[in-house]
Amino acid sequence: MKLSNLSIIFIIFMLPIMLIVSYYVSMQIDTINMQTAYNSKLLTSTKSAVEAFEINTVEWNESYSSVANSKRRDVMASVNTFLTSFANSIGTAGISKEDVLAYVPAILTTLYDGYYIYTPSETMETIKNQDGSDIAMSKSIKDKLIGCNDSFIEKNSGKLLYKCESSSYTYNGQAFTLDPSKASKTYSHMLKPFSTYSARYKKDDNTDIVVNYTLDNYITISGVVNGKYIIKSGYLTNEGGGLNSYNKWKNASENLSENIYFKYKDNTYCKMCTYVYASDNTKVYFDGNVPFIVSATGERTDLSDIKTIYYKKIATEDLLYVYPYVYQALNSGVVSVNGTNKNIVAGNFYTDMNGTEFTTKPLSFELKKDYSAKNCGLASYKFTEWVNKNLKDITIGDMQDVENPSLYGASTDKIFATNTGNNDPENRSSIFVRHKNEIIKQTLISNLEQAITGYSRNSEGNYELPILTDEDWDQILRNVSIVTFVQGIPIGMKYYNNYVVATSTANKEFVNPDEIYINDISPYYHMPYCDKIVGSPVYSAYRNIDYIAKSYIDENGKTISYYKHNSNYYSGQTSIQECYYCLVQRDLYNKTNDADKLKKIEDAYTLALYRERYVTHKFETYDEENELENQKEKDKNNFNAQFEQYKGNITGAKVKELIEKVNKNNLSDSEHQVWVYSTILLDNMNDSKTYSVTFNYTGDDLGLEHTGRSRSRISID
Amino acid sequence: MSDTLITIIAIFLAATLMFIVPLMAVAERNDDIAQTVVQSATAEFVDKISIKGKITESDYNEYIQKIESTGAGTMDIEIEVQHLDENFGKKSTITSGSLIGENQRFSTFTIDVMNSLQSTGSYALKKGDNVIITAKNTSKTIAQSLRTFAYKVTGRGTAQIAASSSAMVVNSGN
Repeated sequence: MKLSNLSIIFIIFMLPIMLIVSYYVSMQIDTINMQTAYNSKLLTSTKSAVEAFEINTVEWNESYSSVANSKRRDVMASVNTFLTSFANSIGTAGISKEDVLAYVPAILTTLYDGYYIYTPSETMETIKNQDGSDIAMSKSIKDKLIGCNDSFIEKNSGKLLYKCESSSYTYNGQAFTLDPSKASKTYSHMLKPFSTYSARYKKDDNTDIVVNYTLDNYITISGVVNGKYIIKSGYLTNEGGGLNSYNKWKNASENLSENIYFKYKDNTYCKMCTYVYASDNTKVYFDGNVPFIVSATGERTDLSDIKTIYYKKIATEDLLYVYPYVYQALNSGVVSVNGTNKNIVAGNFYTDMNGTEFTTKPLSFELKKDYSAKNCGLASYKFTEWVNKNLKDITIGDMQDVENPSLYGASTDKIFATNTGNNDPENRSSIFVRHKNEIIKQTLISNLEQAITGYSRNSEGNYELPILTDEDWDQILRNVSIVTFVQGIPIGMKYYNNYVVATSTANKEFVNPDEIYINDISPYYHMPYCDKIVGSPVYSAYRNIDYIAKSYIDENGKTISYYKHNSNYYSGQTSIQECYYCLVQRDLYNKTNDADKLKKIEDAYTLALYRERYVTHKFETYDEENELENQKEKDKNNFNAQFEQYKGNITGAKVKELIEKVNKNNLSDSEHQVWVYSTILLDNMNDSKTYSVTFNYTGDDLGLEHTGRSRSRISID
Repeated sequence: MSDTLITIIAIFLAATLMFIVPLMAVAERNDDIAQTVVQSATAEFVDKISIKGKITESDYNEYIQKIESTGAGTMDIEIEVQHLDENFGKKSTITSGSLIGENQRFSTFTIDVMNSLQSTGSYALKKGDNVIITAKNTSKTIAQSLRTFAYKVTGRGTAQIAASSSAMVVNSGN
């Protein structure tokens, strides 16, 4: 064969192969390009969803309502934002969010104390009344003709309605049923009910509890503890039982101030005012000495003009056994209790909000100082102490209703014994935090798996939950997050499957310890312990969302911007800015080495953290009965430690020594007084003679008029 | 004589067709694939940074390994971080859209990022920052060499494989 012929044959063979290969490669390239484009679209849309959540909760709704419905509405709004944003970014004409829905197996929104999953599922169709409330399920067509006698309601009152319901039972001409099995069903996306991150532990017949966890160390315990049913919630700290924290919180108070805009007598003002939190967490401002509140629309109302009395709640640690809190009136007025009028005087202390004056001892709490941090600190201290005492033996092995407890940590680890070495609940690597994080993780995984399996069953492809990486979990466990899953979008050679985690940093759901910033005397605010913080006698700290600029329209129609927290030094200046060495450029952040500064910043930071926690979450009031028992127990131990050696028959010299010690104790420790009863006068006592000494402890029936725990008695015969 | 000449030309043509053309085609495809791999690895790296809120040494090394395994030779990687400075444009409210000023951005480049990666193992970013990564090959690929040989004179600075990706950071790293 001629060479030219060979060449032609070669070309005939090679050309199609080359064409096919090049087409295949270009298809691959298109697919990968599309995949990359979808990745960024998904990322941007998820980010928009987070932004929507932040706007809805922080910007629009200053006093964030914790009503479940409002949370649900905010979550639904951010889900819608994601879908619309994703549909728009796909960029095909006419594509709407309904078209995108088919590719969305689940959208997970993790909040502070639980989560929502938006996923398709079978739901019963309902009939709504004119108010939009569901009143019944609409009947599926095949069941429409089934029925029995017409007047079932009267005849069967008290019985299950659907067992004998009528085919003619209609609402506005629509047949309906109360029997779920007969209802007509649709398969559509819906926001599933709110679920909590919880686990059940059972120790023995006496202790069986469910613990609801949160993103931080705030927990709610409900169930039976030592045979008694309880519901308790609070922050678990590592400080329970330690005297350090007790003393630390004893004197904690803060001077809070912020710029506030208000309308007053046809004028608008923007003024730096001190404020305190009232017992319902409303901010009460002071204009000089005039207390006032500001409504969401900026109207100022002086407390002297209204009948409601605002109180400030203050934990009174040393009077705990009688009154856990005192209430300081912020305005004067009259309250009517059971028909009796009582005068309330601003600045005075009351034992409740019904005007019962506190007279036990003089108190020195200042009217314009805020004690929220103290309340939180002491409540956490008390709560932790209770948990350490009552739940110290609960181990990871006591978990119920889980297939594999070893996932959650070593089975002998004591979760709630936070007073032991490696279990500081504020520390990310403690037993408690690791266990809690694993619970959150496993709860989310199992519910997502359920959602995605359900989706897979109703679609053509076979889908599974992608494995989220450790970094993803780290993000999810750090703050309110939205995780979006997209599966099955055709992109050339394959289908697009991916997920994205986006985290919110500015929301009122969760007091994130990473998002509390420090003011100094410069025009900048900083991350805690930033080495660029200017030395100052005292620092103040607030949440990141308090540094967002605000604006108002003055009487001339001009928009004026202002910042809530001006620095002290530059008080004339309208803004304080992010520090360039920590907040703007994170990588330049260095921790200061100045010990004095560190200490002061730590104080301001801790106070701010506890204050914000206190006004964000619910705190239980003390279980007074239990409290009293605890204190009595403690007092008895203290008493014994001091005086045990003198019990029984001792010499007169020893008795004198005892009395001296008692006097000393009574002088130094006002909380626990010791009374001495002697049938023999001290002067007549013989040093070498033997006397009998008996003890009566606190709480024993002394037959004497005494309240609470504060007395023990020594009798000498 | 003329027959011999034609035969020589034919042999030459056949050799060109049978060896150079397929070789070029394969080399070109190889570059395309390398380009795709580099592009997707860059996008993946950028997305990872965006979600994590930081550039870590291990992610960076993984990225380098991935792009160098394409056989495209040595790669030049440029990292630019555009820091968001909100101080100029603090919004009065997000929803009202009335801005006091515009947000500003300023950049740090490869050298700063690399210094930080070497000393601390990571480079922290914050939510809202932009990260831009560009990868280019600095050595010649086979396709480039063949092309130069066959018909094209390529100058310095034209990269055969170049990928660039950018993203906004969605989470603050720490």
